Amino acid sequence: MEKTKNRIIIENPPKKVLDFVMKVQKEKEEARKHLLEKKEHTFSIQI
Amino acid sequence: MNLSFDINTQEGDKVVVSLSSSYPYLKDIFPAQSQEFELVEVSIIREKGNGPIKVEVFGRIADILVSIAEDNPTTILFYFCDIVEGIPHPRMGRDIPSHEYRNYLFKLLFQRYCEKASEHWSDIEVILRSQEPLLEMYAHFLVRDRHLPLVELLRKEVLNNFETISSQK
Repeated sequence: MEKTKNRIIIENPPKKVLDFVMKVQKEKEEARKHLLEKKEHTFSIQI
Repeated sequence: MNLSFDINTQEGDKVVVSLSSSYPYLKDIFPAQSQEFELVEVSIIREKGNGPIKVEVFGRIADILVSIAEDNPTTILFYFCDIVEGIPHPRMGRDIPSHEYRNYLFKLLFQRYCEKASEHWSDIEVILRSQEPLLEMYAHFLVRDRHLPLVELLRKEVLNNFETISSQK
């Protein structure tokens, strides 16, 4: 299969965009906490 | 989609991976296209272990992502390289921020993904660089070819200061 590599670089995005990204980062931190609190997952693998 | 799995190694590492479509980022921006795709955010968290994670673990993660994404034709995988915690990276030969290292790892992971998938996929690496405040952020969208126009729309939207969002709210 052909491999495609693409990159989008955005220099100095507007403040609104940065605020949005910071919000995403904060949500991720919360999601991370919840995920670590989960005792059981859909499946588990041992290697 | 909302599932999680863990990978445990004999070396005592435990890595938790989640796939969740409860994050509405793109659908907020593209409500008109929201029936066409499901944005699934991938999170990878190391729960146990201190040393470098063996390559086999990343290989298994890639295999599972391939399998799940190929079974779900509307899926766009999204990974945001967060800065929550550091990652041991002795092979890099220099100190780099954890989000930059995550970006490096995911490029490798998605390369493998693209190579293995039966359908044509592209790994879109998005880098945001800001001087004020000084920061750099990385994200990846793993998309089928037919979803590439959405990524281009996103790029335009970012450059256009999210005007679509502003006009909707």
